[in-house]
Order: sequence, then C-alpha cells, then structure tokens
Amino acid sequence: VSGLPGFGRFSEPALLILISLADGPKHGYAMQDDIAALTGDRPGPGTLYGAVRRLEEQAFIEALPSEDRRKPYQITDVGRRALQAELARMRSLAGTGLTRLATT
Amino acid sequence: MRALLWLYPPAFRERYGEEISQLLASSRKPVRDVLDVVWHALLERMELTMRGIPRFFGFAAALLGFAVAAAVVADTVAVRVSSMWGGDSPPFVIAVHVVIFAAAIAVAFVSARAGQALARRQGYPVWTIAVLMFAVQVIATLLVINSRLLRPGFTIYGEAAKPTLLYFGAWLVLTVIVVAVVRRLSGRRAIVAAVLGGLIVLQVTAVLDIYFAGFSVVAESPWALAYWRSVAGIDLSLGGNSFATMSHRDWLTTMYTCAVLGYAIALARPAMKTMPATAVVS
Repeated sequence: VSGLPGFGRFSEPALLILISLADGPKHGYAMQDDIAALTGDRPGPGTLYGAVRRLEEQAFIEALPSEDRRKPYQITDVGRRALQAELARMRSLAGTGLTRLATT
Repeated sequence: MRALLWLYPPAFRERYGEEISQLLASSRKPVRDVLDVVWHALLERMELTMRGIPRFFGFAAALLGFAVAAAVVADTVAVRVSSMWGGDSPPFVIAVHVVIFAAAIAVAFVSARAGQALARRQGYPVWTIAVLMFAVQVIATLLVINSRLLRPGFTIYGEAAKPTLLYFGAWLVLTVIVVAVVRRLSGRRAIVAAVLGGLIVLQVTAVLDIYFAGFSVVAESPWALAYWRSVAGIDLSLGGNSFATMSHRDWLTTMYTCAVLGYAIALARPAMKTMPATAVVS
C-alpha cells in the first residue's frame, strides 16, 4: 500500500480507512479490526484518529450519530471519488510493474 | 489512560478524545497503543503550532537556523583542526576549506529545497529573500566572531566592524541585483545567470573587502585573483597577508551566495511550472 497523496505521514492510514469504509460505515474499533484483517497490522488509536481528523477536514469521510457511545464514520462521495482515483493509479502502477517483471 | 488525552490540543481532544479513550481501554497491545497516542498527540500539537506561523516565516526560521548551525559547526571543526595541525600547515588549510565547503553545499542544498517549497505556493519579492539571507549571514558571522574572540590568538574580525558591514552591504546590493536578473529568466539562462552572477558578486566583494579593510588593491595584484586567493587562504607573497586574513569571511559569503542563488533558481519560472501537483483529487 503506497498511500493517499497529500496526507503526508498519514497517507497510508488514510487510504486504509477509506478502503475500510468503502463497504459501509464503521466505528473506530471496527476500522481497526478491518484494517488488521487487510494488512496484518492493527493501527494504533493515535494513528487512526490522526488520519480520521484529516479525512474529515478534507470531507472524504463524515461522522454519523453515535450508537452506544461509539461514533461511526462513513465515506462521502468526494472520498469515494478520491479512493477510486487512487486505487486506479495504484492498479496502473502495479500492472506496469508486473508487466515489466514478466518481460525480464 | 484518560490523562494521556490531555496531551492533545483541546479541540482534538473534545472531538475524538472519547473514541481514543475507548480504543485504549480495549487495546490488545496497551504499551504500543499508549506510545502511539503520545506520539500522535505531540504531532497534533506541533501541527497546530506550525499553523499559527506564516509559511514564509516558518521557512525563514528553519533556513536561518540551519545556516547558522552549519556556519558554527564548520567554524568549530575548523578551529579544532587548526589546533591539531597548526594554523598554517597544508593539512590545516585543506581540511578547513573542505569542512567549510561541505557546510556551504549543505546550506545551498537546503536553501534550494526551501525555495522550491516556496515556489509551489507563490513568488516572494526579491527583497524578502535577500534580507533573509543577509540576516543569516550577519547572525552567523557574529557567532563566528564571538566564538573566535573567545579563543586566544583569533582576532580576525575584532577590529574590523566597519569594513565588515560595508562588505556585507555591498554583497547584499549585488546579490539582490543578481537574484532579480535570475528571476526574470528561465531554464538554462537562469542557471547560467546565477552561476556567472554569483562569481561576479564574489569577485567584486572580495576586491571591496580588501579595499574597505584599508589594504591597497593594487598592491594585492593581480586583483582578478582576489576571490580565489582569499578563499584558498593562501597568500602568494604579493603584498601582505590580507587575502589569507579575509579567507573565513569570504567563505561565509560563498556559502550564502550559493544559498541565495539556490533560492533564485528554484523560484525561476521553470521550477514553478514543473512542481508536482499537491492534490491528485479535486
């Protein structure tokens, strides 16, 4: 995973959060679980909410009303487009790399 | 655990504090997660502080600090080398200039990067760059003077306040002119103008340095080699030892001329056109 441009040191966590929220809203703990399942590495609370704060500022995600003191977040249309663009870029990059590997 | 949240800025703590607290309470790796929270709380604090500082002044402060540190470290190492080999021996002369030249390259590189970062946002007036670098030079020189005056046997600038100020003033005016020319050009022309302009500035200021210090430029002939002889710290017995005496001051000027021209080149139009976009998604 390379990350989301423009998010600095939070680019990778931000990308993983967007991927995690792509199939529906999740609260912090569920995001941690999901990202751990995706990458094998569970992000710490500081890392997670540092990225959440930046994603909210960019309007890539938004908070929903709290449920049992837990606040779920959902991806916005802007965030969905950003994720789509970044994943397409990564797919193109991966395709090029794999093609070059296959020809050598 | 909740006490850790006080490390965060109030707004962040109010917005996400409870959620972070819940995650910490149910953490499977509490030590790692506590360290993660502490580290990111400090990052949030730092970012909040930096937001309050106008970007240009942030860059200026960072560059100024780096340049001063480079000058002081270079000078300190040079004096250390001097005490090891003695002031006039060839190993001393070579080692001192290698150290100071390395510092000059480092300052120029960091300046160029800072210039690129500034160019990404907007072009700053020539005078802001020149005044910034002038401040860098004066502060670094004062530090060098002080550090040398503290050591017995080093009184290079002790009695030369007026010539030093005249010398730096001439450097400032000439540098502003060269930067203004470079910024009007683009591509290779800008680089060529920066290199040639920089050499002219250094040569002219080296001659003025000798003149302001009360030496006879004619006696120090050939004047065309004034800069090269002064930075080499080698006097060819063509009249006194003024070139060697000025050598450290001229090295400082070299360092800051490189730095200013690094800015100028980075701020030239082609650099602005080729900067990568900061946001991929609109």
